[in-house]
Amino acid sequence: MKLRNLIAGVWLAVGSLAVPASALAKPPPEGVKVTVIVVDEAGAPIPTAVVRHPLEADRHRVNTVDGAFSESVLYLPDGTELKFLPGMELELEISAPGYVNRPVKYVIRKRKNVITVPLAKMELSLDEEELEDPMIQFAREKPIDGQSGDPSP
Amino acid sequence: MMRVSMALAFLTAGLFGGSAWAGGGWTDYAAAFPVFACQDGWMACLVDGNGVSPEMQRDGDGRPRPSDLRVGWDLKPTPNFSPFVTLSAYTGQLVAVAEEPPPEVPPEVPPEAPPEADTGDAVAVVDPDDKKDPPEVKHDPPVVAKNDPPPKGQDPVTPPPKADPPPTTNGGGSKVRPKNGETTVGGGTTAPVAKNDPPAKADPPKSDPGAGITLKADPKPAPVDDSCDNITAMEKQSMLGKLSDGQQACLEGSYKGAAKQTEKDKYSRILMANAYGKGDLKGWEKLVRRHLEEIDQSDADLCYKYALHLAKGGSGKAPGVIRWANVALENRTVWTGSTYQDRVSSLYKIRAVAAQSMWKAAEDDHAKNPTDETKKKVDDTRSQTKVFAREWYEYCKVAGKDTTTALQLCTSAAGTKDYCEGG
Repeated sequence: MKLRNLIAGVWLAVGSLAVPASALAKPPPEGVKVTVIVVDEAGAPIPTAVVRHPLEADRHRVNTVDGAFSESVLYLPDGTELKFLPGMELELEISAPGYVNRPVKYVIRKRKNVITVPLAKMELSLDEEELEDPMIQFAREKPIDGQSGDPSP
Repeated sequence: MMRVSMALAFLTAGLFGGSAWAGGGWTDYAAAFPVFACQDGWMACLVDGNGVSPEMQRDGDGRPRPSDLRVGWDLKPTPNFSPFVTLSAYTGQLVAVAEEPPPEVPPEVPPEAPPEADTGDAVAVVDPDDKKDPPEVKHDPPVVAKNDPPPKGQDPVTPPPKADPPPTTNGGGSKVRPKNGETTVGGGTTAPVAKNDPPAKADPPKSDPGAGITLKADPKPAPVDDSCDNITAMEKQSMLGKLSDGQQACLEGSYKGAAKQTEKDKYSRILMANAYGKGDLKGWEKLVRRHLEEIDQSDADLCYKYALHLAKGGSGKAPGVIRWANVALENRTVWTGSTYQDRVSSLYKIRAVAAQSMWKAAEDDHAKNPTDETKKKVDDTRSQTKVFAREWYEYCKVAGKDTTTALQLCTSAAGTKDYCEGG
């Protein structure tokens, strides 16, 4: 009888110790949602913009309606997760065809992480003086007057 | 000894003082050395009312003589005979210059005068019906009709107009056939061949001040020449875009009928030049495309010019830009020096810009209606832009040109600078 009581007491003691330990274990930290809104110089969303982390292989398209991209975690090529945690400095590259790339650094807060990134248009004018318009030669077999042939437009 | 020295001193002083007294000051010679030798500067002197200039003079008979000749060919003194003649007073009036009378054109000239009736004058006859000789474009300066030499006794100050040498082939009453381009007597473009005769003593100038100018104009308008036999003569017209429809049709027919590619090349280039000259860029574009696809792609200038033209046409023509820019780059070795650098850089640029416009159009399509196909197109065009932009950037670096825009485009397509700046 004494032995039974002793065993029951030990089980009770072990059980009473085990339950509070499992109940007090912390869940793993989850990333905080970060939103990037890509706009042009006039403030209009750029539907063709993409957001990319420098260590990431994929490019994330923004929403074509509001130009926004939201995420709390990214998956790196080696399979690890990159969770957006408060206090962490987040580095992103924003690009869109016809616009100049823009790298962004942002320190994540606990909440309300909304970043608006305006992109500048890329100046790719073809009407510059450097684009020289050549003269086209006529198909002369022999030059006239010793010259190399009259050019024609 | 002292006396001798004193005497020498006085003698020397007396000599200097005497010469100074006898010579006077420099101002005494002012009249002999005027500031301006002539009354109106150095332009002309008036001696006894006659102007004397350093130009070639002519005596009363029209014979040339140098300006410094003191005795003429007739052994008579010229105005320069005496160097001590005082200059005439300057009155402020210009030396009289004989006015050239305007050449008189006979109002009514029979269109076909018989050669026997010629008076020995050169005659310009328009004969547009003669098609045996293909007309040649002549660009000699128009000959200005000159007046006859002045009669004897005219003021020798004014040199009479130079007389033309006697005609050798066209003189003596033979007709002068003006070449094409000179047939607009009274039509307003160029002066026809109308030279005066050499001074003939038997022909008194007062009877016909414009003697030697007899113009015969055909009242019928010259028919339009639609032939295209003389390609070289058509070059300048084509550069101005002034080939007639008939000439263009003739060239087109010759192009289609030509057996050799070199012949086609000639006709095609004239047609292209004409289209460009008159501003028909759409027609020019078609002709160049035909030339490049059917005749020859080795003309780097033409490929470059065509690619440049297409590059201004938006993303719809971007594939053509890339294609012909690549062809031009294959033949870039024909250029040298700064031309090479500028054109190669431009070709890299327009190619990258064309690829970017295609990428942008693909992105727009994908944003509106995303499918696997649009996604693939986006990836392809973006990769193309990335590659072309990097090539452009690399060339700019090597050639020492500004790399800012090239790097921006490369980074935009690649998403990161690492790709563009990587070794």
